[in-house]
Amino acid sequence: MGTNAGVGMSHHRNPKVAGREAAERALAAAGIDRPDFVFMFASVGYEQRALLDAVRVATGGAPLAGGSGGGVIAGLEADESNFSVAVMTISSDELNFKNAMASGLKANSEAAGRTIAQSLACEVQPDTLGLIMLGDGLTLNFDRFAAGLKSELQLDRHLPLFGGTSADNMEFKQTYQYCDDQITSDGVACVLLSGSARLAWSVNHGCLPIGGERKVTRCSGNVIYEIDGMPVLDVLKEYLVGDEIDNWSKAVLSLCMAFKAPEQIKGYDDYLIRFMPTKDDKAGSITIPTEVEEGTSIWMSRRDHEKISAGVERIGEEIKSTLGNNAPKMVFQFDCIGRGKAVFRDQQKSQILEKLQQKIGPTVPWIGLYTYGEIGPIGGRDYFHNYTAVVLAVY
Amino acid sequence: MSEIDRLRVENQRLSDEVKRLVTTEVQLYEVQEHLDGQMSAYRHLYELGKKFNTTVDLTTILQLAAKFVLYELNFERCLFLLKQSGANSFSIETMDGYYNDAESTVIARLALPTASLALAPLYAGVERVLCLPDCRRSELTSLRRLIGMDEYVVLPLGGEPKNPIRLLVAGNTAGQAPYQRRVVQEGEALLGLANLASQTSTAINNANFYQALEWERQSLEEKVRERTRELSRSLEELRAAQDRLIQTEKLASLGQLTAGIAHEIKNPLNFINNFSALSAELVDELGEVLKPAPLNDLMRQETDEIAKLLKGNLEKVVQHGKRADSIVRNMLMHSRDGSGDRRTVDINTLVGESLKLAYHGARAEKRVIQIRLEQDFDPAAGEAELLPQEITRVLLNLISNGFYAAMKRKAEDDLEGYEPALTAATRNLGDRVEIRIRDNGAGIPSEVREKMFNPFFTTKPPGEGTGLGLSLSFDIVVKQHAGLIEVDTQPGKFTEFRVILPRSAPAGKAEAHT
Repeated sequence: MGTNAGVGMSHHRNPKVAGREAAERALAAAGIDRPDFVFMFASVGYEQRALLDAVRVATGGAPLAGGSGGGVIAGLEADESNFSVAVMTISSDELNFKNAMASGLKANSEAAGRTIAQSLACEVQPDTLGLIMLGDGLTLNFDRFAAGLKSELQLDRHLPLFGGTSADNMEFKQTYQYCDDQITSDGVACVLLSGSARLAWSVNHGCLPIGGERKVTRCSGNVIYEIDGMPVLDVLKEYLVGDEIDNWSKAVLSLCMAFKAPEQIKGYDDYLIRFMPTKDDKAGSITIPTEVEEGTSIWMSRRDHEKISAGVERIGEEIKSTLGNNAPKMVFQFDCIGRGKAVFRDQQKSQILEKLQQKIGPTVPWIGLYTYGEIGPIGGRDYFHNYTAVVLAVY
Repeated sequence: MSEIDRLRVENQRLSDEVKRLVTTEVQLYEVQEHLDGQMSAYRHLYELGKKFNTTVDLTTILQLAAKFVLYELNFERCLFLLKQSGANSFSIETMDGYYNDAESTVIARLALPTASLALAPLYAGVERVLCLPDCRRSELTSLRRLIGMDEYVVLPLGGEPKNPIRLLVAGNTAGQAPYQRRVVQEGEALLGLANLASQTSTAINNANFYQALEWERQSLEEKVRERTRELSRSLEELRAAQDRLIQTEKLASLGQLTAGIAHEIKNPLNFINNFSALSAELVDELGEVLKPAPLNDLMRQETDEIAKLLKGNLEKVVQHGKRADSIVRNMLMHSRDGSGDRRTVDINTLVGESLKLAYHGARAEKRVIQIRLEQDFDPAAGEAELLPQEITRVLLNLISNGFYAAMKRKAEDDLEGYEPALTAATRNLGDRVEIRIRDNGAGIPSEVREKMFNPFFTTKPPGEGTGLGLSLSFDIVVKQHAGLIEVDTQPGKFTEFRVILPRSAPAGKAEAHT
């Protein structure tokens, strides 16, 4: 039989109808009645319980994983409204999907990583291909999560991590992760992918530094207090318009931090980009999703249309190069919420997406999520990214 | 200044320039985004207008408008409320965005009093009523629970400027508000809603005008159809009257003719009857005379046989002469106005007696007659002023025909389970009374129906009917009583004669329907 996968989307405002519509469209596109596994990406405008229940019923209670986002992608349609849900249904006798969930990222991301590893350890096989993860974009400390996961699994080979962090349309209040019938926040939903297939992926951001190098002069863990000896919020004001800093969700869409890329991934880009999901006016600090040390060089950065477009083309070429003449069975796209409508008008966004899909496979089941952070390996190591697109093809 | 210092300053200047460019770009993007939003709103409103133009169905218009509020203006919920004529409250006409079954059931039953203080500004000519998230005015906050919205805007729709007949309500719950278009004091959302209200109002007016025109058109068409039906009925009645007139004239002239013929035949027939009877007696006398005559045995035997044959022939002449006399008497009755005096009789008694008389008569004639008799008399049938002997004659005629038809069917068809039956029924029709005689015989074919009231027309074998019974009945009912006689029959099933007689002395037109 091989693999049959299909994607469906709905914008209906009634969560019960939207869930059912998206699932039924996905099943119809796959040409199946009962899936073996389901991915669900959704906007946060919906009443989440009603939405998930509707998808579960329509897919016959098949195992499911997913998360909320700033928008969803299904095929050529990218929707960044608060009301869209995308579902991918998969039936396969060559791929195996095992899901698990953990919570408490804010308190201890490392422990969450260990919990996931304990749940999935017995499922790791020689043909295991990688782990797709969707963690809370407001609380995930990726470095610690990855450390906990890998220390518990103790694999003698690299298990590539892919995915993104769930989002809530720049509300920065609550994001959601889904695993079967469970809905959680401050959690992570993971899917261990095994089977007779290969993976092709590419990672690319589209940011350029503004001005010169600056130094982190006071920080703690993933919290930055000072840059160049100045309060970090004052530094940021230099790059923002008027009182834009008071509208944080808007400010962080146009401004990010670039860190010098490690030597081992120099071929990827000179910089790794970091998003600033939260600020603390009282403490005068900002938070980033990974750890930082005093003395680290940073460059304030902004998104660049041309670089984003060129980067997407590069993603297409890299994946196509890996695929050769093989057609993907399915594609996952984890794209930063700051690379969608925040920077491109609808028509431009559609054109870029269409160009990418034309390159990789115009008829391939394609599902995507607009995230607060993206996860994808570079040079044999797992990295957390921001303002980046991670595209993963299973072939 | 050293070269390095100069480059550092230049670098700083360029860095500041880039920052300015970045912020300018952000501002430009925001302006562009704003313009895109406006353009999109106008386009969607235009599209909605086109959809409105394709329908005159009020429900569809309101549903389209409600969807626009949710999907284009991005409010969570929308209500359209209508004040029915004469009502003192607004009730839900269309609702959208309520996805909890229990809540939507409650909202669907909402009756918002027209006297609600929240609506008062609308009656004063204010364009809209706003309840913002931080609103503390009790008349507005009290509405929140009723409509299931924590922030809302109410706009009037249709009717007089200060007396709206419809309300458009759009808004959000507190929980969903962050993901929806917020209700604010002023701005594009309110402008969008106002534009929508205006377009919807126009669409509703157009629909109402169309409906009114449609109703008018249908009314006119119905009037034309009714008039056509009336004309058609009149034409049919005219034709029927013409046919009846022809039939009546035909029967009248036939009656006159037959009466004349009968009168002329009556005398010779009397001679035939009298002299043939006398001759029969003479044959007997001749036999007595010849008794003493000296005849041999052979001659006496031949004489006796001839006398016997002669007497037999004369008896047949007498028998058929009497039959001819009966026919002639019946024919003569056509020319008379009726026999006996008019008097008031009880219809049920008359019909009941006629039924008994006919039954016993049939038994006497046929000796054996097995038929189920039923009576369905209306206690309110009452009395009528008529010629009792004549009507009895009609009823005997119809009942004996019914007996004949039912018994004939039994004899011919040999149907298993078939039971001959005849029903006599009466019914009060106010100033008229109806008598129905129904048999379950073989029915009357259409070609016979056309001729059955003609004199001398009969389907019975020779010697069993004169063909004058129905003709006489027609004369008696229609001419003498100004009544109506009609037949309903279904071949193989039944025949029903319906006689309708006025309760008082005849003074109207005569009718006969077949």
